[in-house]
Amino acid sequence: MNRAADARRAVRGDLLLHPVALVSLAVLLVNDHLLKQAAPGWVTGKLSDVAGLAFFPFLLLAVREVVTARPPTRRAAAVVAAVTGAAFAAIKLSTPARSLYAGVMGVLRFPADALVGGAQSPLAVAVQPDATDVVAVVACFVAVLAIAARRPGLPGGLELAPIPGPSE
Amino acid sequence: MSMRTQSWSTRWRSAAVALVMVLGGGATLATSSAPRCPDFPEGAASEFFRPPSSLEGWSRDATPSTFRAVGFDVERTTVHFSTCVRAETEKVPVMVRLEMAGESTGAVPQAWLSAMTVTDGHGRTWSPVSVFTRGAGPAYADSGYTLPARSEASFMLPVDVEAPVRLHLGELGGVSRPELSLDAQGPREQRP
Repeated sequence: MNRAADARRAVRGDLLLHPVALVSLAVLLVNDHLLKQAAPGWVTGKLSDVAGLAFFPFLLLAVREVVTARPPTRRAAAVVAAVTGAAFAAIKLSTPARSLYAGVMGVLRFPADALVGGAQSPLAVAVQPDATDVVAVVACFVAVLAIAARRPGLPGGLELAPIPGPSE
Repeated sequence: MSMRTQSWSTRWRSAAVALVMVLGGGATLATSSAPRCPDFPEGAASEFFRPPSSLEGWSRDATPSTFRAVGFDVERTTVHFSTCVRAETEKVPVMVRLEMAGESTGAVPQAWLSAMTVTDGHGRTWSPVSVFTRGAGPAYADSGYTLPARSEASFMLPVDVEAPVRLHLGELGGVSRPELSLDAQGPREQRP
């Protein structure tokens, strides 16, 4: 067994270093802060949804691993992807869900809005109620594919503890 | 591979995970944009209405914000702007909110609020288009949380309102505090 590989596996939350997660995050950042200003429109609008929904399950699974010390499994990835997709769809399709999300995000953003924009109280974020955005939820399941590819052949994505190689 | 190399590899990967986690969390929050106004119509609208960073729906403190009124201790006075000012805007709804100290404070008389006026540097005067007042009381039945007494007066001010913009308190302010400044600038009064 390769010791370097063992050392890499020892880091909790390292699912976030998966190329798909890194590319999704990079696309999200570049699109939100550069492309949307340079070329506002349908493509850049949808690109953020797809990139964000591809990245967010990775983030949730990594946080889960850091907090619980349990490595991500295909089942956990499927649950996280389904919950993320359902929440996104609800926000786009349901007014109460959208209001709740806008309010909660406004509170979470408030420290930054107060420091940068001078806001004196939390402001609900703006959410476009566009039903066509819901198609982007398929991106949530990229994390499931990534986990499946990472641990092929193991039922439920359960990871066997790495067996140390012979001492050198 | 040596133990030291493994240790550094692990540390670097841990740092990378933490960095991506923070970046990802921030990007998730930042991707939901706060409501923004279009660019402030320079020259067409008074500086009185200029929002900080074009936030839609924002507020600022009046000056002074805290003062002793007739029969009430005003804990905070804020000026609220609920709409974006655009080039075609003629009048802007501006609401002044006064929050009173005390858990048993009664409501400010509605007639006092209706008699309040706003004046500007051109000598124009506006009366409230609506007022609201309530005394301190429980947030809801059997709750232990008390909402403070609160009064609000809403005005429709023209987009070219000129500084200084002042709220004349009338009977509420008495002789000790006849008026407040609603302008963005001005000395801030220390709140207790």
